[in-house]
Amino acid sequence: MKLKPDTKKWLVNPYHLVEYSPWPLTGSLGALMLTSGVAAWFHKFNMNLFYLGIMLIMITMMQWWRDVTRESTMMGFHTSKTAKGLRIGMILFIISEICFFFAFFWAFFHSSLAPTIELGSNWPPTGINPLSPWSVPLLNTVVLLASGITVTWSHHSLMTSNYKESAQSLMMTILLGLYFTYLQGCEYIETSFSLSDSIYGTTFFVATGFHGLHVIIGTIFLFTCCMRHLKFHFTKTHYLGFEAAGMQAAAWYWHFVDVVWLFLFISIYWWGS
Amino acid sequence: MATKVFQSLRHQFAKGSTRNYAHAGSHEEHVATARRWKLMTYFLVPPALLATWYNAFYISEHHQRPEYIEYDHLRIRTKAFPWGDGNHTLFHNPEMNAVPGVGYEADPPHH
Repeated sequence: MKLKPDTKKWLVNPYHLVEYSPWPLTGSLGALMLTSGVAAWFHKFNMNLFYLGIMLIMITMMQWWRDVTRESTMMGFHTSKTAKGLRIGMILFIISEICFFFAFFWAFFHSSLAPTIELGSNWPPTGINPLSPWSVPLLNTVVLLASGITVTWSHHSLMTSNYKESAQSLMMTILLGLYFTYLQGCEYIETSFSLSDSIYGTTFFVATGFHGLHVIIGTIFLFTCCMRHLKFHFTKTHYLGFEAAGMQAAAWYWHFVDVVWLFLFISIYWWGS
Repeated sequence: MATKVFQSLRHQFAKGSTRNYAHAGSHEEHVATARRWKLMTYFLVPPALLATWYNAFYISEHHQRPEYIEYDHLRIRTKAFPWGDGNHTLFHNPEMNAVPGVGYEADPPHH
């Protein structure tokens, strides 16, 4: 008699062959509604499609990641091969993010290295009073560097199965992330220039604004990891939550956000002022 | 440099298993590393935060608003903003941001 494994019941290869899922469909519909919704908001001053799109995107993200969390924890689909794929996916995603920010730095240097006559041929442009980099921006730099230290502590604590210290240092990282966002919010209200004050304001707020958005996303990412850690989803041998979508991925993403800030601080806040 | 980074990435992936990649080094090494970062959090982070916080809010000069001059390159309005009256920016501060054609709506803040 030849024994054949029931492929419907048992994992017969190291790859995660996913089941049918509605989330790619709802995700793409949400993305389409969100972009058209933003265009409708800007041109027709109607936010209905925008709200619908963002709601659909939010629901998709929550449901999809809930599925992935179940697949990795309860169902055990994240074999080392699958984990490797997730890790490569995260690396590629961060590379695409680097390209995204590269474009904003390009716009900034394009405009600041040879300021046009309309700006008074100088940088910062005539009538722009830039922020002092050695005030709150320096504090923000220290806050992000400190959060880089605490997230590394958290990671190594997890490696030594130190559950308590890993959770505590992860919470410290989240608090530092929230403090950064708060300080940037205060700065945005305090600045004397705005998004529509010459190319200086445009490049400044587009670059720092997208960075701020990434800090918020990174903080949510770390918060999700913290919740999963408190529910014992991570062990020292299997911690893709904090690693790819969870633990190390969150740490990688956080370091990426930190490095982008260092470039913003040096070029836009310091050199650009 | 790029070659080196690529080689190290390839080396890490070639190791294959999740465990090898993320857990290079013995348990003792990890304990020592965790301790090092913990000490940095306790002894480096608080003084650095305190010093830069004090500097930002008690030592360094406050950001000043410039005189209101109707430059063509400032306060550009090609079409109305999709919020409020369409003439105020998203983070509008009446003490710090001028409105085109109007100027500052409030006196500068006192520090």
